[in-house]
Amino acid sequence: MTKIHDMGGIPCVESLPLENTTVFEKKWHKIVLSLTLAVGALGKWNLDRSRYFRESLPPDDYGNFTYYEKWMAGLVNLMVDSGLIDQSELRDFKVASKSMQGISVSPEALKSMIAKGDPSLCNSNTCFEPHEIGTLVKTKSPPANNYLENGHTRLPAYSSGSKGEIVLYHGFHRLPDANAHLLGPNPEPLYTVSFTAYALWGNEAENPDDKIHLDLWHSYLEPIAVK
Amino acid sequence: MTDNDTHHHHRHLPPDPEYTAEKLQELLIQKGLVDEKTLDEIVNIYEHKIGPQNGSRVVAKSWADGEFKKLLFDNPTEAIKSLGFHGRQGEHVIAVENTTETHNMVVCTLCSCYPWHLLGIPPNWYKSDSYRKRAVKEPRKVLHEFGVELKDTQKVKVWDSTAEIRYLVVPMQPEESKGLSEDELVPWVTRNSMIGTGLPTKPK
Repeated sequence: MTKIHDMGGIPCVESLPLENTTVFEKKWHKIVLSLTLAVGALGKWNLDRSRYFRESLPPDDYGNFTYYEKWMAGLVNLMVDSGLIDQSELRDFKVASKSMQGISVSPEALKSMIAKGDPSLCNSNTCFEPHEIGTLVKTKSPPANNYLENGHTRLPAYSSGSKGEIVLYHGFHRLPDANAHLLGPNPEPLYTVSFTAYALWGNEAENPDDKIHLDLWHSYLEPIAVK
Repeated sequence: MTDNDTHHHHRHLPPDPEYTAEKLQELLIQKGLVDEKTLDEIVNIYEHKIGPQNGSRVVAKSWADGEFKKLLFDNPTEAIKSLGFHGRQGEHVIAVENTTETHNMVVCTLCSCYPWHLLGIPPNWYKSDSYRKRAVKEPRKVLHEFGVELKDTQKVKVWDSTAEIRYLVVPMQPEESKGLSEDELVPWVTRNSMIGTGLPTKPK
């Protein structure tokens, strides 16, 4: 997996593209979004896996593609990977394999899936004793997946190896590092950790006392002793 | 583990994304993997039914109704659900309040996580590399670019949405709008004010 998506804090002098604020700028954006949701609803993968596939695009593609091109590429790779379509079908856009034919989700079913959502909150388990609010922690460094080399993780590089304080506890949530690779939900306690700008950026901080908050799982964190 | 050598099938696609999207849609309909009516319904939902007007209703109600405001900060997911807003990308919500001491703003540096059930599909700038790179490192410069100038007394709190928790910024109610009804307040609450990159604005 490349780390090109992990871009928080990377020096950037580009101003923000504030001009276009319509919901869908182009018609094909509607197509890509609706296909992504409708095919995703077939349940062949999960949201963590679709994020993993988008961030696994070759760095030059990730960098050059527009937003919905990344979505389309991720979708195509997921569909082939999970056997929904085969490569020849992508080449000439003609139906070749009939193995998955006719499994589409109806408008009513899709509407209720959108309304219901897919909570990542799970029952708690005894594998982890959650830390208390106020616990000082240091984030794991490097920000690596514990299950497989170069796997998906949600610990941004800019926060890796930094000291912060647990300010919120959200219960046990599915762990993307496992879920993205279809290894199970492996729920862990999820916290919001508060970092001072100084802790993350040192003397480069705009204002050292500003705070940056991240939602981080138990295994991303090591408690540290209070001085 | 095969995940380490993800195949790049997308490289066989034609270069024009518009053409490719249309052909792909045709193929998937023909295969029966998607239903055309379902695709239309998804677009209809995000073009007309789910958008910033939902979030504006939540914030306006919190300004007009003290009891709801308390509920919104005590149990945000349920409070928002009680107004009929729930579902995809809104499963778990935290509401963060702007005050004279604190200004909150939201980003997703790793992708584009956003409270869809309250704000709809994220705008271009939210999904841009420049916002994702800069918001956590130079939030004040970013706010300046949006025309938001903070008071010296205000500290910035940035919320990087790295999990499935979605953040709603509850902006400060403008003095000028005090005493208005919930319905009258709704148009004051702009989308950007609920991300933290704008302030509530008097409707034109």
